[in-house]
Amino acid sequence: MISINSISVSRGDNPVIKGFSAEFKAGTITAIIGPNGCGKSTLLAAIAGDLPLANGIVKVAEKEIQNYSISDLARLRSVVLQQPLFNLAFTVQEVLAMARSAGSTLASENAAIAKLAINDLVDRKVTQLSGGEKQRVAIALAIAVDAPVLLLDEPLAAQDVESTKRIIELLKAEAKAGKTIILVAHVPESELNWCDQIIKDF
Amino acid sequence: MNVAFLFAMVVLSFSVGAAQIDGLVSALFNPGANTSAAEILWQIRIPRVITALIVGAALGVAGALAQGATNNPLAEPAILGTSAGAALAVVIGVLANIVVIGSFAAMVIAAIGALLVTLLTLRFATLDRSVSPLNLVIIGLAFSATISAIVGILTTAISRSDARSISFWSFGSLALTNSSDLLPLLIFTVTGIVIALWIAPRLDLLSLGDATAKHLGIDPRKVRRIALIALAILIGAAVSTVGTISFLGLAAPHIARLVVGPKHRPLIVQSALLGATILLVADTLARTIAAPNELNVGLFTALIGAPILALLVRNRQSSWSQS
Repeated sequence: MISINSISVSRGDNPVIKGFSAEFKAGTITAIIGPNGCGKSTLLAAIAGDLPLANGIVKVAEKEIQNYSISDLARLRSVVLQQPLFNLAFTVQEVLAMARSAGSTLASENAAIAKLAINDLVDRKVTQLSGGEKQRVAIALAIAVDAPVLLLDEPLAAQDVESTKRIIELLKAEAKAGKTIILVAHVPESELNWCDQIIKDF
Repeated sequence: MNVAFLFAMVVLSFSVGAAQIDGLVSALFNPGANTSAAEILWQIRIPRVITALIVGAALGVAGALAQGATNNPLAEPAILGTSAGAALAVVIGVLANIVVIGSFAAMVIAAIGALLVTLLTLRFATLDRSVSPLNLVIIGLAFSATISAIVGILTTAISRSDARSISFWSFGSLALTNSSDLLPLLIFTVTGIVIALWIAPRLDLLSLGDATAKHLGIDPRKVRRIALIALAILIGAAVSTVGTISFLGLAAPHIARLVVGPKHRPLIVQSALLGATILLVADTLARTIAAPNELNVGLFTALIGAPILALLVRNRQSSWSQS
């Protein structure tokens, strides 16, 4: 589904990723791990098409990522940022409806609410949620789009034990349904046995 | 409720003024009557009330656009340099004998000046890629102050009555508007508000940040550009007709958000209503409180808008995130 071929990415004048290649198959979960500052988020952002590449090629569904329009790419991959920004006091329901611009429907939004078990949050204002709740809303927003590729930057960072379990089960189910899932994780490799592929040296 | 109050204010401001009008009602229904009442009402007060309503709506919507486009609760046309840019363009246009204040041409060059300075502010504030909300406000204030100073020097150095005085460009006044200004003002304002309503749903997505907006299929730069063009059209019309009226653009959308919530389409409608109401009240006070002398209307928009804003934000949860 996604292939990256010897990509290099710089942040400012700093080369962060140098000539890295990998393959991500449909129906699999890949975790990117490594110490702080090694460029995990940068790699994910490059795969998302958010960063210009100094070199190399990122292909999604056999097509170079920069050749997609913004709206086509939105239907192909959804992204969960490490710290989702909710600047205005929309309700959770209103925020989820914003995924309509990427092709969500009321049904897919409600399904996402059920999958994340955030039914009791739907009428709350997103500005008043805790960090973990905001992150679950951001994951629901991404899931509501129902895109074949799902990219998540530390989706488990602010979650309690139960939410962590639920999100892992959710990701496994999404992968089983054929999605390509790549996430950045900040846990020991031994805790990632539910992933199909681990990337740690890049 | 809102609309009823606005209507009551319109009737009230028809009836008060420097000159006493006898037979207001008969004058209102006989615009052609050859009485001084009909003349004052139809030549002076009604055009002025309509100007206040249109400009107030324009400023309210402009504030909502400025805040939505920059994702910044402190943004408003007088802070982003938009108003100063419009004022500078008009002053230069008048001094170069290209335009007359209040004309269609003046609004066009005012809108261009407004857009250029706003883009300059945004470009300057994000040069180092740090889109800090505070940076934007500080840089915007610096640009506004610099350009306002240039406007002041130009207006005082060249004594021509049609360049208006520095207090006009700093605090605004509706005293010099006349009925021929109304049509271009209306066309510009309606155009700006229509564009604003059209882009409004996409402004909602900007509140999730540029990255997420883009992930959801929206081009944040394009949305911002369209919103800023609407902003420049509204401010171009308002500033070239009545000068710079600050604070209304900041207060109206904040108060409106407490009434209708953060969604931009209802917010824009509510900001227009509130802007029109506040400016009408302010202008009625400005022309009656020290009659027959006129005070600058900007003094009253600040006097009315600022305490309301402070109280509302203090007593109720603001729509903006606290972080």
